[in-house]
Amino acid sequence: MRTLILTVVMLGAVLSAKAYGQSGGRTGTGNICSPTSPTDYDKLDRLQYGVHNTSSTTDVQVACPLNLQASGTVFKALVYNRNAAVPFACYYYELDSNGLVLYSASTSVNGALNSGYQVMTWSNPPTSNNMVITCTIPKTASGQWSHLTWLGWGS
Amino acid sequence: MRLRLAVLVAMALTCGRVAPSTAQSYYARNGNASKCVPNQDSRTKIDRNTFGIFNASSSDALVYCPLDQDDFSDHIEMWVYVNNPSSRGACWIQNLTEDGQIYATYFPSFAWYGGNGPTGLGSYADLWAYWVINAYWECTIPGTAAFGAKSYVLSEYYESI
Repeated sequence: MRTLILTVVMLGAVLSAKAYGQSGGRTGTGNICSPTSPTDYDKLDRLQYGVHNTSSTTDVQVACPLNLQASGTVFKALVYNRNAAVPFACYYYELDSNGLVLYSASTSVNGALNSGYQVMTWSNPPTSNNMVITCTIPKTASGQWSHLTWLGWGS
Repeated sequence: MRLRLAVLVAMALTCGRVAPSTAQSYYARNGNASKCVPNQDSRTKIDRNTFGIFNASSSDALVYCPLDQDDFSDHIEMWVYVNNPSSRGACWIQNLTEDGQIYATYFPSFAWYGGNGPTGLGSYADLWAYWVINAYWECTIPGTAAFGAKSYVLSEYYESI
């Protein structure tokens, strides 16, 4: 009976989640981000933890196009900041079709060696069809990389 | 007992059918692979054109192609074009947690052989396989063939059933 109940509950979960299936994502990997300066391409590398800065001397700014379907009231960015001297700073931008800024808001998190992930949030940001976030990924500290790992909508 | 079972089934079906505001229906869509990005070692090897992303060097390149489908795709493919008969490429899906821990790695059900024209890499899989919130394709693109032909990652394809 217990197995049967579990099966039924799992069926419900599958149907529920599948019913949310849509033609666009709400979350994504930080590997969607690219440097804003052509001279910084050689400073970035990518792993399962998204994009990270390999430079020991230069912080690198990246831009992340948000082709993520807005869903929820909070936009989140999950990062690892291993540099205690440099904040991991990000700007959320809502743009019109011509690229003019309609809204922007920044947030940042401080770092520490060997630290775990931190989540930046933007509550109730406006949405349009043209959104982007830019982030400054700190340079390495004692050889440790800082990562921009994940972007997504939540509540 | 039967009544309890009936209630459970009804709850499960109701949960799946009614709660979402956006009704699920069949969909299929493609995405161009020009969105793929190289790793640091491959940054000078790759280029893009209307076909997608290709390897312009003589050695293999590694690229990441973010999945922008975080819900359910019952079928998912990556289309590639290997023009090097002496080499073989590979694509696989990394399914991760939000903080980048590998939850699972999925390999396509058939290989990417050289010199055979465009090939779709993918497999029908159970529903759970692609319930992802953080995922990307990772592909190695073979280097240029001796006769100069280049190999591509062309596009990805999603389909719900």
